[in-house]
Amino acid sequence: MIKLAAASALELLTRSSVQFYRRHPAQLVLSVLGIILGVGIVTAVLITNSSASAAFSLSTEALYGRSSHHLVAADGIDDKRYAELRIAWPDVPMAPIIEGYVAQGDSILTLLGVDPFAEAVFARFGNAGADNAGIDTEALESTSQLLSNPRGVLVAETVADRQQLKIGDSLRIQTPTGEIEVLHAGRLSASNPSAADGVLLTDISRAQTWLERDGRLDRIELVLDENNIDAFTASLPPTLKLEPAATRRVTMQAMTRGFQINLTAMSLLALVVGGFLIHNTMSFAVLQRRELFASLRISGVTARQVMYTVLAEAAMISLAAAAIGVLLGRIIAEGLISLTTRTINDLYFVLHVQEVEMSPELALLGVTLGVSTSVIAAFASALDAAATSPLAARQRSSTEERTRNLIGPLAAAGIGLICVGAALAVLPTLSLLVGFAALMLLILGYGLILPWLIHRLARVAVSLWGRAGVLASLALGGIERDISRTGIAIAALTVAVSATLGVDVMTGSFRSSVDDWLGTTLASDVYVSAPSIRSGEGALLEPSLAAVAATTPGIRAVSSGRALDVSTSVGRMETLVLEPHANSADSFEFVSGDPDSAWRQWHEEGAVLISEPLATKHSLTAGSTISLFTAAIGDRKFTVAGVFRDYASSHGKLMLSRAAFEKYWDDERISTLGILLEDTSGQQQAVVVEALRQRLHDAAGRALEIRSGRSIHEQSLAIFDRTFEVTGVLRWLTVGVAFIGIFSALLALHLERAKEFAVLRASGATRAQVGTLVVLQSGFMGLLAGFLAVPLGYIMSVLLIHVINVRSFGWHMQASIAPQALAGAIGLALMAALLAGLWPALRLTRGGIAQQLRDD
Amino acid sequence: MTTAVIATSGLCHDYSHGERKHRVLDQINLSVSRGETIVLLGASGSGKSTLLNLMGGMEPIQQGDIHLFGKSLRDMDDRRRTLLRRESLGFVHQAFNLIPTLSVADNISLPLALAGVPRAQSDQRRQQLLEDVGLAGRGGDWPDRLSGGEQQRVAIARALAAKPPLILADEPTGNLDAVNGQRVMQLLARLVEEHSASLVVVTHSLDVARIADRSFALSTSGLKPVDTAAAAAAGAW
Repeated sequence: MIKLAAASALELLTRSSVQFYRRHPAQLVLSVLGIILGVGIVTAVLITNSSASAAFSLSTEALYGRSSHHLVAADGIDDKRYAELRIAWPDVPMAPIIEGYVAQGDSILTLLGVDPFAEAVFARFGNAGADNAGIDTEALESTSQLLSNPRGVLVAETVADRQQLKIGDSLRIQTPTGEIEVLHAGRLSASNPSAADGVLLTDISRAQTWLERDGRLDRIELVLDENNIDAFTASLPPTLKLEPAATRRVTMQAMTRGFQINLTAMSLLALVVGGFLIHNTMSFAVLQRRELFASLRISGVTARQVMYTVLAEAAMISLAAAAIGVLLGRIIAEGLISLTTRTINDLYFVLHVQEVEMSPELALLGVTLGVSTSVIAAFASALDAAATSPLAARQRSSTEERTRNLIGPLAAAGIGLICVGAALAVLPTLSLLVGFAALMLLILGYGLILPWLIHRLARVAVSLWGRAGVLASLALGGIERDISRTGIAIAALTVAVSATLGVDVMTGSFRSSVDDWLGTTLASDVYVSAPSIRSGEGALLEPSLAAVAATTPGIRAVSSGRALDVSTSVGRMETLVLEPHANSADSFEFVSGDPDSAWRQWHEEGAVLISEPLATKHSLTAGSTISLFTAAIGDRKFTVAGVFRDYASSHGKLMLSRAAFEKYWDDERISTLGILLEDTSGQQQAVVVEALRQRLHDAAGRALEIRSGRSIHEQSLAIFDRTFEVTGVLRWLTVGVAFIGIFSALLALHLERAKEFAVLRASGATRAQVGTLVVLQSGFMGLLAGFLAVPLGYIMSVLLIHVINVRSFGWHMQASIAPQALAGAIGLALMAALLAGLWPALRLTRGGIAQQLRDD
Repeated sequence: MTTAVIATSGLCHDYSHGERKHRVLDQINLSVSRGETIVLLGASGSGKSTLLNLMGGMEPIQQGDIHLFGKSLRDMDDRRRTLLRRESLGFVHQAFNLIPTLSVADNISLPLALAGVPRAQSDQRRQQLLEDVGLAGRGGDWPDRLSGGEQQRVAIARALAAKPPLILADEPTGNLDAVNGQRVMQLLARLVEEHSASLVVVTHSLDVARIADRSFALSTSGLKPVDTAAAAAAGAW
């Protein structure tokens, strides 16, 4: 009976809530919009990350098929070794593989060279049971053409469909040896077409030629089981290394982990701002109905029922909004995915993401995040509604008084949270999650201090400018007096603007550090390389070209470099083999180890230099050792002579001297030349470079890329800017949520005061004065938010730079705040608030005084 | 001949309900002289408040005209009507309409601030008014901490603050008990007289009409003079 009465009361309360929102549709629409955007952003990032991961897993699983292990060597495996292994281990399925990149127009494709006769067991591309390399019936028919035609390739069906290629069509691709024409011999289909996206498959011997790897294999894939693995491993010479197939996938996923976590955190920030918005909306909704709640309490509705009503309202509104938000997230993800894929391609590895994946679990996660954030955000309002005494509810001043009494303890709690956040930030751990927890605690802590700060600052403003006129007095005084309403609105805008400032300062500091570092590290005037498919791929040059360059008139010195991946005790590592010139030593800034000693040990004693991210991630310093898998003797320990600053690779990088490399790799090949000119004045430089171009062309028999240090510098910064485009998009979406927040708050605040404004107009205030009052108050709220965002933005940038960046990518940098970033943040808050105040100002000044006085 | 403080001529006003129109004021002709107190009596919905809002320039005139100090409100734009209101009119509302986020003192100072009265002069005037309405020492209180009668006394002080020559009062005792209502009306009448202002009160209470120099009954058929003593004896209203 009691339960029935309670249910019936809740039904009546719900009906009352529905009626309330029907009368305040703008308020409902704006709060719904805030949740939709907040959930949309988070879901978009979740979908983007999940799609990229799914595409990556799919393509690696497809490429590796059923192989359990990979056999690798430091500089590729000799063809003959494969033949020997097949004879020695006839029962072990094995397949030789060549894998590299080629370009077709703007797209980078993976060229996979396989031995069709060895492929059957591997079920590559998920085509179990196929007779050979995972190719479909149509392709099977053309296998003979693939083998017999010296230009034949199987083209991934997604690529063929996009380009409407028919079997027999030619396509031009750029290989490290130059542009060639290949023949579309068959369609490469997979059980999931996305798995093969971006792949060209050909016979291994052809791939060896096109990728300049004659006589070598990149890896041999094997299917080993528990019975034969130990014996097989024991039979290998030290120069061959057996790796579980998963190793490569795990390494590559680890490379993008920091990037993906950062994106997720950025999107969660949008949800936090959205949470402020919900809190804002629910606070207003409760405040506007205090008299209603008081009447209900007098009529016998319990405090708990009132609280449940408010929470149920928040849950219902957010449930509908979050569901729409998830759909919006799916749409945003379409755009976001191309930006993130481009960044992954620029910085890490080639990835084709064809399908935007939104699993039911992801959709549920998005909705759950939206609803739980909303219910948590509404909890304080619900408690407020429930705790208010029925009599006090009718007194507006009691609300404000209670709020004023509350802001002190809230600020104290905020300081407590900041202390906990600061303690977490300085904990000696590399955990990124702990870093983000520290960041969130600092934001929440500051958010709790904000109402107290706003109240104090508004009071100061009143005492300073309150006498400037009645409008200034009303505008400034209103912020202080209505702190229960204005405090939350300003706090939401402050947090959003500080987030943009924090990210701006971090990006600016990072850019400035990269800019300085490029200026130092690009020690040569001109760089020579072979045209490469992907930046940093290190296509090979003939070693004799170094001498050709050195003897060209006008050239002072030449250094040579070779970029390659080396397997180390801490995973595969990008490695630079350097034969330095006179300026090379100055191009390294050491962050650990004595520079002179480090350079000498590296140059003369065969020690290695490692980059800062590698040192940070694996706790290595000068004096540590690292094991490298060499071509000559397999694993060998090298001493770390020093740690140098490097922003090129977040995964890490190491540097070997040419002498040490040749000793353990027996390899003279180079991939780049660094050239110092005698005269760097524009005209003279052009003449020397032209002569160099001609001489190198004659010697190499092909055109080489000759670029100035300045152009590499500019291109690197362009890639840097591109990398942060996705962050920029998320940042603006977060500002969008905050704008809706301040707009909704100001609309509710001013419309609630419509009667007061009508009294003002009845007392002789002109429409312009009322409009000015609204805009002034909005503007001042924006200014307050802008100025208050500066300390939080700075703290956030410090954390992003010194904690999050270090833990995500391993690099340190100096925080530098550009005055324009500060001005931009304050301007952004001011503009957002002024724009948000315009509509309420228009509505209030256009309304009839008599009508507004009648409305209650 | 002295110019009327306010004069209406042929004033008509309709409210629209969708397609239907409902006439609430029909050919209202009324003139109020300086220092005169007029009471307009009428039942709920008779158009009393509408007439008062039209007189205050707060509702657009649909038909007829109103002259305030000889100037036609019909010819004025909103800004000029507002400035005229600021200089010449004070309002007392049934629901008090004090600004809840301004203290009692600030509520009274509001018209003075809008009129640009210097602070020292304004403070002095406000203090005088607080004493006049019996609320000296309550200037720092918030409006919602006062009783209904006290709030209405603040509203009267605010209406008189800028010394307007005409006070318009809309059911000033409507939210008060009989005793407080009587006190408030006596206070209003006294202060209006002291300020040599004119007063137009709309009410449905014959008790209020006792302060009137002239009383009129407002109904759909127009405005008719009322003998309040006779009406009270007859038990009208």
